Amino acid sequence: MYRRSSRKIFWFFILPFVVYFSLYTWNWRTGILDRFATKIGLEYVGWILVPGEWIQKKSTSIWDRYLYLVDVTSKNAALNIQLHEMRIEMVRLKEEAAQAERLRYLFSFAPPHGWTFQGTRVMAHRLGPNAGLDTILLDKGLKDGLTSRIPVVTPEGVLGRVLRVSEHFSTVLLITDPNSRIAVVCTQHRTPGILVGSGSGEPLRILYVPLNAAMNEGDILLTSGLAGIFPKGLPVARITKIVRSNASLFKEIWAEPLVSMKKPEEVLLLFHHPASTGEDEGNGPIVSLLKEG
Amino acid sequence: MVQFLWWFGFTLSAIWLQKFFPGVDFLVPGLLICLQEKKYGLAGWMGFVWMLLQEGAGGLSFGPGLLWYGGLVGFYLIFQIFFEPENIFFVIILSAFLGMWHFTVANIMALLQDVIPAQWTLLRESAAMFILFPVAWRLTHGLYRRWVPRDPT
Repeated sequence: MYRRSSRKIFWFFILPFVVYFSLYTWNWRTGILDRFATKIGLEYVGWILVPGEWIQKKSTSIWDRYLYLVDVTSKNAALNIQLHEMRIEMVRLKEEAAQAERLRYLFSFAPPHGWTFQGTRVMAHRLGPNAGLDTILLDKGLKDGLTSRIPVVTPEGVLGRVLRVSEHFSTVLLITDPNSRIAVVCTQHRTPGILVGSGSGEPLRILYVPLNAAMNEGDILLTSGLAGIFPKGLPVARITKIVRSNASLFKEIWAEPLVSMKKPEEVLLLFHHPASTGEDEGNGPIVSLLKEG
Repeated sequence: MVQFLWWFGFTLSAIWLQKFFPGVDFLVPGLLICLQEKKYGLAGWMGFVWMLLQEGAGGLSFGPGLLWYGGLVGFYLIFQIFFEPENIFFVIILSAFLGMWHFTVANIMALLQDVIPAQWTLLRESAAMFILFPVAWRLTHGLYRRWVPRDPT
């Protein structure tokens, strides 16, 4: 009797536990199952979502074209695109003007490397029970030249960075995830800090800002470019609250993302091209993508 | 053929529903139905395919999918001794377990993979899983009974 029950315990609990952790540690060392799941799982999920996206897009398009005001909608969309482009251009020019002022006093100046944009669609947000992280699914992958760590932005600011990539699809870690860390500086005083997420819908936190450092509520935070993932000068967040802590050497600072994290539909991928002049930055792809839609 | 088409359509619809309910698994009622119908071979194959899809779409390294579906199968095998598996109370107890299991698996994986879990988001997803699972199961079960003929055995 005792032998039978101990055998049952072995078959139902101990053996599955041992098999699971053997698989887990083997994958942790080799990454084979990760690559397999990404190649097969992410790819198939992406393809499953594609027809639905198409139906949704077509039905919305029919509604917009035939039941709503035809010209006003298309003109409004075009103007919105123009407005977004002007906004990002304005932030870039402002940052460049401020940078030029500072660099006038310096002897050596390394020109920023060129970056190009590519537009893409968001297919889903935090898909499935194993999402774990605050992520979105994009309809671009390895075949489009994507690799992990590629910055993902919208005309309003930084959204996150590419985390996993399959042949045609990829997942993006959003800046609201607690595992996201971005080196930032505030526009006005150039005070550096590390921007950390606190979960979806929660305010962002800025760490390691000394008590005597200048930083005000309402200041815009820009990427500092120090980590080498994001280009310097992209707007990320706006400071909402600053508290001077008595127990810490650093200020407690909260911020809100400039990008609406609710339902981004189209985003921009930033590709680093050290050799390019950067003349065509921000042109084309997103506009053509939106026009296609 | 009907079986194949049914499970194919179910998989497509469930993944589509997951797009609208972040963090909720709509494939898990299918696995429960396979177990309730005592189609253990089919449960194994479908479970493997669904685990692969969920692992691929997820943000963490390989592991949570296996633990998630393994937990469901373990719970089913133990509690079917005490309850009638097709009884709605069994399904409600199972949905409570799945709600807690979702939170537990995410935290275990976060600990093992050295990532920080967003606890409030996980709690919201666990609550959604608890509420939506019985509804999803009832709907899936009803459609399955309507469309898929029972084995003569």
